Amino acid sequence: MSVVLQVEGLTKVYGTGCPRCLELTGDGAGTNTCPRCGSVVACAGVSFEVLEGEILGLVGESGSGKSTVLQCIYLDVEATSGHVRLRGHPGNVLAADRESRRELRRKRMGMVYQDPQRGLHLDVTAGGNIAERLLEVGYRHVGAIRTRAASLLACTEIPVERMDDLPRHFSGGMQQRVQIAKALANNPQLLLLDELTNGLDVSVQAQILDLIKDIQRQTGVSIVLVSHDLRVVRLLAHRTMVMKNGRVVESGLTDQLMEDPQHPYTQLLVNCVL
Amino acid sequence: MIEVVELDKTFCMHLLGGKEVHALKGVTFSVGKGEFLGVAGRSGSGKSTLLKCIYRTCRPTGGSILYASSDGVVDMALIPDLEVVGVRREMGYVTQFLRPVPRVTALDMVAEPLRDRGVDGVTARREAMFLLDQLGLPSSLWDSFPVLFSGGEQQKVNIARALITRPRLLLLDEPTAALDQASRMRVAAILEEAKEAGVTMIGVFHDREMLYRLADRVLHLDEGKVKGFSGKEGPSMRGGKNDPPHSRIENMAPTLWE
Ligand SMILES: Nc1ncnc2c1ncn2[C@@H]1O[C@H](COP(=O)(O)OP(=O)(O)OP(=O)(O)O)[C@@H](O)[C@H]1O
Ligand SMILES: Nc1ncnc2c1ncn2[C@@H]1O[C@H](COP(=O)(O)OP(=O)(O)O)[C@@H](O)[C@H]1O
Ligand SMILES: [Mg+2]
Ligand SMILES: [Mg+2]
Ligand SMILES: [Zn+2]
Repeated sequence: MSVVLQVEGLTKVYGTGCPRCLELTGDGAGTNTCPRCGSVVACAGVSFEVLEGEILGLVGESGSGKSTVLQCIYLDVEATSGHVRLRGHPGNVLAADRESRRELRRKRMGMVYQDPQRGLHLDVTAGGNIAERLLEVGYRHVGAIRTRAASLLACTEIPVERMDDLPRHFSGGMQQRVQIAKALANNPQLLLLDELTNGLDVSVQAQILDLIKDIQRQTGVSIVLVSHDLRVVRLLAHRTMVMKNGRVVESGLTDQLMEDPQHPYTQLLVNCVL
Repeated sequence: MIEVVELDKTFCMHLLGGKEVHALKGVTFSVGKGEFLGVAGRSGSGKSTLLKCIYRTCRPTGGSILYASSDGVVDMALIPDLEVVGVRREMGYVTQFLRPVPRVTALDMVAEPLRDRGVDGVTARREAMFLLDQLGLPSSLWDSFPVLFSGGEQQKVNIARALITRPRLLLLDEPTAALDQASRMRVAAILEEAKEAGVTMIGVFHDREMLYRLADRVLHLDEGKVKGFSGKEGPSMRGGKNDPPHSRIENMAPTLWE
C-alpha cells in the first residue's frame, strides 16, 4: 500500500528559541516551555507516515501539540523545521513556494477545524461555502456547482433544503458537517480532522464519527484524526500516536496501544477509558 | 507454519510503581500447517497473552514468533506495525470477549472485515448471513446491536467475524466458553470443516471435551511456562489424518471452504 503522507522531524517552536530549547523540553523535562528562553516547543521531532485509505489517530492532552502538527502540515503555520512529503508533490511541502502552497491546500488536502468559525464563513450560505472551494479548483458553471454542493451536503447528511441557509443559524453538529462537506469538495487525498466532535452532544458525536467512517470507505481518502479523547480515536483509527509535551511518546496499532500500552502516560489514558 | 522460540512477555505497570508481571517465560513450540494446537492451563497462566503476542496486540519482550506467511517467513515479534497489518489479513482471531461497537448491527460487524478487504457491502453481508446462520444466531438478531446480546450471542458474532475472511491461521481464545451444548457442537463442526480445508489453528479451551475433540496436540501452560504437551490417544497422536470422519450436523449448507 502506498504512502500518502510522510512527516519527518516536524518541529514548531513559538518564540525566539535558544540552542537548548529541545533538550530542556519534552517528555523527560515534563514541559513544553523552555525554562531558559521561555519559548514554547509546540511539537518537536514528530515523524510518521499515513498510508492510502488509512486513518491515523493522534491523541494527547490539551496543549500537547496535536493541532500544531495538523496546522504545520496544512501550511496554516510555518514549521520551524522538518520534512513533509505528500504523494504526487515533488519535494518538501514545507519548502514549497507560494504558488504550490496554494495548490497543495486547494487540491490535495482538506482540513476540518476544531472551531467551525475557522473553517467556514458563518455568514455565507452552506452552499456558498462549498461553492468557494469548487471555484478554487476550476468549477465554472452555476448548475454544476449547485449539483456538486447538493451532493456533498447529502453525503454529510445536511438536508438539501438547508443549502441556502447560513451556517451561523446551524447547530454545532450541522456546522461540523458543512465543514466536512467543504473539506471534501476538492476530492482531497488527505483529510485533516481536528477535534471534530468537541462540544457536541454524545449522540451527535456518534453520528459524525459514523459519517467519517462511511466517507473514508467511499472515497478511500487518508485521514489524520486529532482528538484528546481516546474513545473517539479507538473507534476510527487503524494506528494511533500519543503526544505529550510536544513529543510523540508512543505509537502503534490502535488495538495494540489499548491492549498493551507501554508509556506511563498511555497507560494512564487507557486506564481512564476502560 | 508457526515457530515460537523462547517467547517472553513482561507487562510493566507504571501506574503501580513499575510493578512487573511475567506473563510468558521462554515459551517454545511449533505448529505444523493444518495442525490444530490446543492450549490449556489455569486462569492467568498466559494463554490469552500467548495468542495476543502472535496476533501482535501485545508486543513480546523477548524471543521470536516465526510465521510462514503467504509472502514468506516473518517474525511477528519484530516486524513493524505496518507489516503486521498486512500479515493479519491472513489471520483470524476470536478474542475471549467481543468488544461490540456501538450502533453497528451484528450483520455489519461480521461483514466489516470483508469490507475492509475491499469486498462490496452486498456480498459481504450475504457471507455474514451465511455464517451467522451456520452458527445458529437467530435471524431476528441480525439487524440488532450486539451491545445488547447475551455473552453466547456475542461470541457467535465474534466467531463469524474471524471466519468470514477465510484465514490461513485461526487463533481462538475460549470461543465456546459462553455457548450452550448445541451451539458448541455447531462451532466444533465448523472448526473441523476449517481444519479439513487446511486451516492451521491454535485454540484455548477450558472445556476438555472440545479441547480433545478438536486438538491434534495440547500445549499446557503453567505460570507462563510450557509444562508439556499431550496428544490424542492412540494412532491419531500425530495429526489425526486417520480419524474416522466426525459426525456432521445435518443440512450444513454449502461449505464455507469450498
Ligand atoms: N495488559 C496487561 N497488563 C498487565 N498484566 C497483564 C495484562 N494482560 C495480562 N496480564 C497478566 O498476565 C498474566 C496472564 O494473563 P492471560 O490473560 O494471558 O491469562 P489466561 O491464561 O488467558 O487466563 P484465563 O484463563 O483467565 O483467560 C496474568 O497474570 C494477567 O494478570
Ligand atoms: N500561535 C501560538 N503562539 C504561541 N504558542 C502557541 C500558539 N499556538 C499554539 N501554541 C502553544 O503550542 C502548544 C501546543 O498547542 P496545540 O498544538 O494547539 O495543542 P493541542 O492541539 O494538542 O491542544 C501549546 O502550549 C500552545 O499554547
Ligand atoms: Mg487542539
Ligand atoms: Mg484468557
Ligand atoms: Zn530555549
